Amino acid sequence: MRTLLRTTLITMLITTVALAGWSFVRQTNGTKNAKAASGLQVPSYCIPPELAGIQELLAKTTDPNGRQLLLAKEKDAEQAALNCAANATAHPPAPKPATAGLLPTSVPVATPTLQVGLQHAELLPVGIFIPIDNGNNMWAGFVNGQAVQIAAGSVRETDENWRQNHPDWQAHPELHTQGAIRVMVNYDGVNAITYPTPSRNGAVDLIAACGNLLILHAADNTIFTFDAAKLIFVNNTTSCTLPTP
Amino acid sequence: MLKIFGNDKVMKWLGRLLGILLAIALFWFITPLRIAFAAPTPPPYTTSWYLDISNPANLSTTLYNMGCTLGTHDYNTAGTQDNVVILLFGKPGYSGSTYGAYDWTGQGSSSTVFLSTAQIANAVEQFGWGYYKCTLTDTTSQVYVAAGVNNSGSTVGYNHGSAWAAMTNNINSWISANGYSSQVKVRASGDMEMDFNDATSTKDWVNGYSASYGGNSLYLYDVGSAAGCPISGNPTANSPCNNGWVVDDVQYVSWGTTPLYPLPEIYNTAGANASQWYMISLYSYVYKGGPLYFLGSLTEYQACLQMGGCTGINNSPGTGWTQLWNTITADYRTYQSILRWSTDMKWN
Repeated sequence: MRTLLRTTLITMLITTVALAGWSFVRQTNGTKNAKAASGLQVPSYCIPPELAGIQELLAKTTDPNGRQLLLAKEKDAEQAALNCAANATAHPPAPKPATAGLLPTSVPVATPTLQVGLQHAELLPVGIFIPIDNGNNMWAGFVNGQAVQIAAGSVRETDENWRQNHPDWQAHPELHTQGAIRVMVNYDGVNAITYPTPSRNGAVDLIAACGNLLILHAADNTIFTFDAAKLIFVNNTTSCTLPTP
Repeated sequence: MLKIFGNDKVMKWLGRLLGILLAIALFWFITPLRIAFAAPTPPPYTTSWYLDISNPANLSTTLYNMGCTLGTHDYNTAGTQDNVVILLFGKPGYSGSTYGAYDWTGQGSSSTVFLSTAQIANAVEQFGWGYYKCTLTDTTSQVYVAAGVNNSGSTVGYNHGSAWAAMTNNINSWISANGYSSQVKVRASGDMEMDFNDATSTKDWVNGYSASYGGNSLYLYDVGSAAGCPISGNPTANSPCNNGWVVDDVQYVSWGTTPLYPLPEIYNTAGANASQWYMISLYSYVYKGGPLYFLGSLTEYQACLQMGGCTGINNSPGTGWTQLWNTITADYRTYQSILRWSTDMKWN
């Protein structure tokens, strides 16, 4: 029994050391190969940080499909290191000044001019609001002497459990987007307010404006009316003649 | 039986066999042990930017100053600093006969101004120059600067992706030719979000970038979301995410071609985003032969503070990083030993 125990322990120790060495060699071989193949001295700043990650994954990936992508990424990173090394010879680090500081910026821009009425504008997502890209997505006008811009679209789902809790979404996934408008007063983006539509009928665009009443059209053809003066959704659509969506 | 145990030769062979088997078992168990005892310490976060171009005339100076501010910080901080900075220029655009981006014209404003790729390239180059110059005698700290757009709007597609790659190449050539590349490393980024656009256009954009980036490690960091994707279970290719996307689409735009690497949004304070990205990586492991390799995590804590808060999606940089680290390292299939960066969005 003592012989068995002793032989087991010694063999285990030797094998563990061998396995650890093999693992280390596999992880570092890639970089060495790149250096050896090129004959170039590769400065450490030329080794892309992505390379170490790829080699870590390669060391434990056996699936041919997985390895194919990893090998392509590894080859690319190694080539990049070589290109960088060649460039470092041609363009060594530039000299630096003794002192440096910030540059002055020019005066602020002039007050923007408001293009009033319904329009299609190149809008960007901000926070949870996502503007719609089709049709009229913006209304601008003056309400009580203030410049008001109202963008139409939807809000992103912040409740990641929503789908799980509403299995009915599968029939018409686009209709379960929460439509919304975003109201910006006097060009103040920081304090802009997002108003979700009263029910969940998909993203909305703007189809008409009757004075301060804005008519919104949702993905499932539901019509909503927003009062730009009172900043609330209302039921009144009777004063407007609606175009056919 | 007793005869066998009494035979020294047999005992030695048996011992050797047992030793090898035990060593292999120990080796395979070492990863979970390493996971269990790893102390997750988030790296210092860097600030990334939603670029507010309220005055296009200031664009280059603004970015020079951003780079210089970071360079000065690194000069004044002991040791070698390791930064990643994402510069988000809004959404892809095409005006006249020029590709570019529609950028924000005010903090939180959804109004936009068009910038050509040439204007953007010039500004990013100034960022690099500002950083290099203001690090002064610090010659080892580095910044990985990744100019990007999101995937919203109708210009998202192959040609714009290709134009973005050409622009990134131009930035890199300028940085290299001027001798700044020892400290300024050029990358690109894409804020790929399910709710912004369909998967087909977004994949086309990624394919355009991948076909034209031309090596030189001008990798494209996906700083987007996995919105609506599964947060638990065993995801398959067609497991649904928001807006008609499926898990396979998200895996593709973040990892599926040579230049792609994920550095995803981990906004959700309850940990849902970290779980979603773990699921994407797990799907990749099971069905694509290997997991994703995450470069870091992206949060928007500072931007939320500037905009008056965004409850539920305002993870601090440290929390976002820790959530991602904990989920991917708890499973040997998605394990990675380093999660290099933590960066946090802010409006300039």
